[in-house]
Amino acid sequence: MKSLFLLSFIWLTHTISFAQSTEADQLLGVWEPSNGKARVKIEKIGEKYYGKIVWLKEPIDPNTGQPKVDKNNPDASLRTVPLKGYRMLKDFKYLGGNQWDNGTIYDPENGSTYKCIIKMTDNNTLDIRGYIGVEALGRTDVWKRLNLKK
Amino acid sequence: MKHYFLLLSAALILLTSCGESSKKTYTMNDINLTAEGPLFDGPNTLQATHIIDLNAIEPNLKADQIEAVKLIKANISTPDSIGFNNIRNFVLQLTSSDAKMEKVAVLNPVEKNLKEVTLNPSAESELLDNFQQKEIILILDADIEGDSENNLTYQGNFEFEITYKK
Repeated sequence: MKSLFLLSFIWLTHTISFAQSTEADQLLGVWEPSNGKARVKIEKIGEKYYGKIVWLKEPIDPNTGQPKVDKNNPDASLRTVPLKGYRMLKDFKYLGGNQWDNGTIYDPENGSTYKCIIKMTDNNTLDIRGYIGVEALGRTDVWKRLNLKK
Repeated sequence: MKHYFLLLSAALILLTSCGESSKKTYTMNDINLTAEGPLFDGPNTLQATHIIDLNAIEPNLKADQIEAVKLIKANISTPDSIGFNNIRNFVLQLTSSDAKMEKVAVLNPVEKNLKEVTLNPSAESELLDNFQQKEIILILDADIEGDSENNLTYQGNFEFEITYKK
C-alpha cells in the first residue's frame, strides 16, 4: 500500500513537471516583430529561453556593402559580431500563466539592453514588453509566429 | 601618541590582509563543442558543459572568494581536413542556470585554410556570476556556409583570469 502511494506520487509529480515543460516550450519557434525587419528564432538552452535573429529584411549594411554587424554595441570589442545570429532575447524563465520573465531584450539600432517580459496572448502572438526599471515604464511590441499553429 | 601609532599600524595590517587579492589563470582544455545535424546555412549552435573546479585555482577556494573573471584566450580547432573553410564567423557565449548569458569573444570573418583560430575576447564581459555556479554552458555560434546532414564537433581551449580574495 505504501509503495503504491509512493509510485502514484512519483507519477503525479512527473506528469505535472512534464505538463509545465510542454507549456513553457510553446515559446519555441520563429517569430516576427511588428516592424517586419527581422525574424527571431526562440530556442531553449539549459532551462532558459533565448531568441536569435535568423533573418533580416536588409541584411547588408549600405555603408560597407558587408553583412550588418553590431556596430552600436557599447563594448567596442564586440562590434564585429554579426547581426544575423545575434541573440537579442536572453535568459528568459517560464513563470507559468503563459509568461516568461527575468530576461533582457537588446535593440541593435541603439545598442541598448532592456529588461523584458514575454506574454503569450494566443498560440501565435507574443506581447514583448521592454522596460527600464519598472514594467509600467516600458513599450510593448506584438510579435507574430511565422508558421502559424492551429 | 605611541598607542595611537600602534592602533593605526594594526588597523592598516588588518585592512591590507583582508583585502589581499590574487590572480590566477583557469584553463578549460579539449572541450568538445557539438551541434547535432542536420545543420542549415547560417548560424548554428555548438554547445558544451563544464563543471568548474575551484580547487584547480586554489585548494579549498570558495565561490564567494572570487572577485572577477575575464576570458583572456579562446582557441577553436578542428581535425577536419577542410578546416574552417565553410565557416563565416564564430561568436562565443557563456551561461549557466542562475547567471546571465555573456558574449565573451568573436571572430568575424574566419580566414580560409585554417584548422585552428583564436577568437578576440571581449574587453568588458564579466563572468563572475557564471563562475559562482557549479556548471557553465559554453555556446559557440558558428555561421556555416551551406547545409549539412552531419553532426559538427570542434575542440575549444579557453583561458580565464580569475581574481580572488585570499
